[in-house]
Amino acid sequence: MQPENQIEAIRLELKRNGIKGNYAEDLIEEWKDHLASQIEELLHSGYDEDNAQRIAREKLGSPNSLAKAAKIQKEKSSWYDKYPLLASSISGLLIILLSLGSLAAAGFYLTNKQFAASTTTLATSLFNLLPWIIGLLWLTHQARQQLLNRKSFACSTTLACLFLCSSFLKIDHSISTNTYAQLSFGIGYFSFFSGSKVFVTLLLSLYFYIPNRIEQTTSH
Amino acid sequence: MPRDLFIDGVPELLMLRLLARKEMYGYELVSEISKRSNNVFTFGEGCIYPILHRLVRQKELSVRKDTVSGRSRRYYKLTKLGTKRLTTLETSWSNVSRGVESFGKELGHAT
Repeated sequence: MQPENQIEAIRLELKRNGIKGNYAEDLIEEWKDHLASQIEELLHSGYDEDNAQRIAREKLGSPNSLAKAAKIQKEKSSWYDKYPLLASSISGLLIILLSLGSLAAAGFYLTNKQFAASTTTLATSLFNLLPWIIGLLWLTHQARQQLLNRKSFACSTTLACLFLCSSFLKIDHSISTNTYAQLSFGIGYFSFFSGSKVFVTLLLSLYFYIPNRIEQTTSH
Repeated sequence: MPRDLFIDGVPELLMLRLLARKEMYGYELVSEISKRSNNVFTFGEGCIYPILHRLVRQKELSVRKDTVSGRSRRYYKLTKLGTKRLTTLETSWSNVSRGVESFGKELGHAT
């Protein structure tokens, strides 16, 4: 069996054992490098190509044993590592609930206190930043951990942009008087400010995600 | 004593010991373990990679990627957490050794 066929057999066995995504791809890269390094060393020691490939395959381990080892180690990981997509969806949902809850509380507080219109406007702008800041921290964590594959990460970034860059607490100027401002709760429009937040969100998420994915190339 | 010491605790201990000295990649680690142990440890070589990846997830190792001869290669290094883990495993291992040794001595006296 050629090394490429061996790698293909390992890939299939990993799939059969439910190992996929970045974890599977990263392991396959390592096994590929291991096989190639071993073959190179054996050829250097005087083995012919067929024997070198056979010995390297045997030393690496059977596709079944490698897939089982990958599964065992994955099971030892935390719940978050084992089910990254589900875990990040749940944590994302919790972030949304936390943001909405804190905004609702802030909204009620501002309404009941009846601050001056200028104070309410300033406080509203600041409170509207809260979900964005919480969400950015969450997104940065996702990017740094590299638990999600590209598609899932792009999806969570898009959702974060859609949700976090909207304004939730709005001042209703039609009802506002000279002294007080009336607050309402709902998804706001996309203003220039929201656009800037989208830009910063995308920039930060790419800043933390891409460097880990780019391989530093050196000549050897 | 950790329950998993006999399962993958030994390769883990050997890997951490080597990585405490310098940054290494997988094949280099396997070759070094095999050389230093006079081929006593004959676990499937490929099985060390899932362990390395778990240690990275647990922040006990840090990883740096490189491309060598067109192939992707990862270099592993021990972190502060990894050093703590190594100390724990070393302690567990010396406890096991002492236990086995004293068990042997006891049997020797009895016979």
